[in-house]
Amino acid sequence: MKHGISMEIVDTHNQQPNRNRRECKYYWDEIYTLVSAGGFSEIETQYDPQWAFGGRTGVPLVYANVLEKDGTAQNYLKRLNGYGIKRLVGVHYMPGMFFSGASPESNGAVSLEGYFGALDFFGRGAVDYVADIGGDYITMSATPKIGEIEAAYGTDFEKGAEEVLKGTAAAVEKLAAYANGKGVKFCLKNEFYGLLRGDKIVDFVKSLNEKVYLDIDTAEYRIAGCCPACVIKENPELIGVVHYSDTAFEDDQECYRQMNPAYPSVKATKVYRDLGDGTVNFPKIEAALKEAGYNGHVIVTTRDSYDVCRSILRARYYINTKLPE
Amino acid sequence: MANIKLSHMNHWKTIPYKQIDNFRDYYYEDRSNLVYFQDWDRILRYHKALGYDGIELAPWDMHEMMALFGTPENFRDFAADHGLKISGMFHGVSGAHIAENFDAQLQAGKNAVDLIARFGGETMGTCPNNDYASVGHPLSHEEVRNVGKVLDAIGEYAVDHGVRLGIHNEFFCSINKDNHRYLLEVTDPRYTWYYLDTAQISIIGEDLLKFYDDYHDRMCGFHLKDTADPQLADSIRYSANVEIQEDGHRWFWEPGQGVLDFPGLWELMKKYQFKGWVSVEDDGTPDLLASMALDSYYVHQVLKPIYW
Repeated sequence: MKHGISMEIVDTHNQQPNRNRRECKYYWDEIYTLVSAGGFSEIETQYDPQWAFGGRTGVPLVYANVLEKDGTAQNYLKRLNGYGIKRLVGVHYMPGMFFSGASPESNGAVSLEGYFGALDFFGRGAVDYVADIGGDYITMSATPKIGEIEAAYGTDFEKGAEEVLKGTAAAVEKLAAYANGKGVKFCLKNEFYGLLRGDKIVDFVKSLNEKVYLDIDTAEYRIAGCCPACVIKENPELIGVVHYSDTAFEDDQECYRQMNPAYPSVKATKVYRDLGDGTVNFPKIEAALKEAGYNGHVIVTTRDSYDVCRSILRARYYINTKLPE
Repeated sequence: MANIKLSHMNHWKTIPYKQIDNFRDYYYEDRSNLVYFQDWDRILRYHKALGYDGIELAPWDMHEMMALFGTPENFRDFAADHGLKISGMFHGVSGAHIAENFDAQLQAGKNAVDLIARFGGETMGTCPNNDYASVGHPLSHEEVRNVGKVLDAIGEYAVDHGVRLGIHNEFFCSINKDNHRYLLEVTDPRYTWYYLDTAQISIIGEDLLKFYDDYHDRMCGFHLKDTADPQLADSIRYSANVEIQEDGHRWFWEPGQGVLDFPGLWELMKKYQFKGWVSVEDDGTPDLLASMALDSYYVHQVLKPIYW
C-alpha cells in the first residue's frame, strides 16, 4: 500500500500562532520539503474557493492561484518535483463556503441556486486543475454541514435537507460527467456532519446516473458510528480514494449538528488526531483494502494539525511501525 | 475621563470556540500551546489584561462568530462581561467608482452599519473602493466623486445610527496618493470622516504628521500601526495582490518597531484634542498575543504620557 499525504495538515481556517505564514508562498514551499523529508512523494491538496478571494494568491489551493504563481499546472508540478514530490494525485474540493445561512447580514436566507451555481463553477475549475496537473481524482465534500442547513431552514429543516439532497444529486451528476470526460475520477467525501454521513453515502452514490466513487475517510465514518472496514468489504467496486484519518471522538452529544462541528461546543476536544493518536484500527482497514484488491491512493489526512512537522513525522512513524508492507 | 479609548483590531481569525471550560483536560490531549488561542473567552481576557478598552471587529469573521454567539447583542454582552466594548467594525466598499453600483454598495454599507449598531460600536473604518490593480486605471474625478456619493450616503445612514464612517486607505487601493485628498474634499464632513491608518497613509507617500495636521477635524478614529516602508513606489503599490508578499515581507509592524513618528502624532492629537477610539492593528504578525503586549507597552509607556 503506498501512502500519500494531504496538505490538510495545514489548517487554513483557524487561529494559531504563525497563522499569517500560511498566506505566503514561501511557507508552502517549505512545507513541501518537510513532506518530502517525511517520506511522502505524493500529495493531495484541499481545493478551497476561499483562497480565490482576498488576494492571498500564495495559497496554492485554487487553480487561479497556481496559475498566478507558476503560469501552468505543469510548472507548479515541476516546482513540486524539485522538492521531491513526484505527483499531486488529487484534490479535496470544499464548496461549503457558498452555503451559509446564519449571517445576520443574510437574515438566515440562503440561495440554493447560488450555492449550486458556485459549486459547479469552482468544481469545474478543480477538475481542470487535476486533469492539467496529471492527477487522478477529485473528492468533493458531499453536502453542506447539517448545522448550516438547520440555521438556514430552521423548523423547515426536513424540507431544506430534501431540497439540498435533490440539488446535490443533480450537481454531482453534472460535475461527475465533466470529470469523467476528462479522465478524472469523481469521489464523494461524507463528513460526519453532512447529510450523507456514515453509510448513507453508499445508497446515494448507487442512485446516481453517473459513475461516482466513495471516499473512504476513516475518521468521518468512525465518528458517524459506521465501520469503514465494513464499507470497504461490502463495496469494493465503489472505492475511489481512501483517507487515513484518525480520531478518538465519540459524538454522543450530537455535535454533528453544530455549525462548526469539528470544534464541539459541549466539550473542547481535538476531533481529528495525528495518525496513531486516535482509536481508528488502521491495520484492520488496511487488511480490508488488501482483501478487496484495492490498489488506488491511500492518503494520510491529519486535518487541522496543531504542528505540521509533528503530524508528518508521527504519520511516518506510525506507517513504518504499524503498517509495514 | 480619558480622551482616548484603546481598542485592538481583531486579526485573530478564526476563533473556533466561544469558551473552553475543560481547559486542563483539553490541553493534555496534545500538550500544545494552541489551545490558548482557540476561544473568545481567553482572547477577550487577553485584551482586558493588556489594557485595551475594546475590540474592533472584522467582517470576515462574522459568520463564524454568529455561529458561536447567535446574535451581535450576545457577543456585545459577552465582551462587556470581560470589561470590553466593541469600538466598531471594518468595512470594505467595492466598485463604488461605477455609478451603477451605487444602490448595491449603499445597501451593503447599511447592512454593515446595522451590524455595528447592534454590537454597540461607534466606528466604521471603511476602505473606500477596491484595489488599484483590479480597477486597472487611475480613477477620474468623476469616478472619485461616485465613490464619495456612496460614502456620504452610507455615512448619513451611519450617523443616524450612532456610527461614524471614516475613510480607511489601503496602500494598494484605487483611492490612493493622487486622489484621496480629493475624495476628502468632495465628501460631506457631516457624514464622511477619516479613519487614519498610520502605516497605510505613510506607505502611500503622505507625511503622517502633515496629513493629520491638514485634516485633523475629519478624524473619527485610528488604526495605529508602524511600517518600515514609507513612500513605497507606485509600481509596487499598484501591482496585483501586493498585500501578501511571496517571501513573507511585512508591510506592518507594531508601533515603535518601524520608523513612524508616533510621539509627534500624539503631540498633534494633544494640540487638537482628539477624542475617540484608537485601535491598534497587528496586521501580519506571527504572534498576536506578543504583538498586543508590545503595542500596549508602547502606547502606555511612550504615548500616554504625552496625551490621553
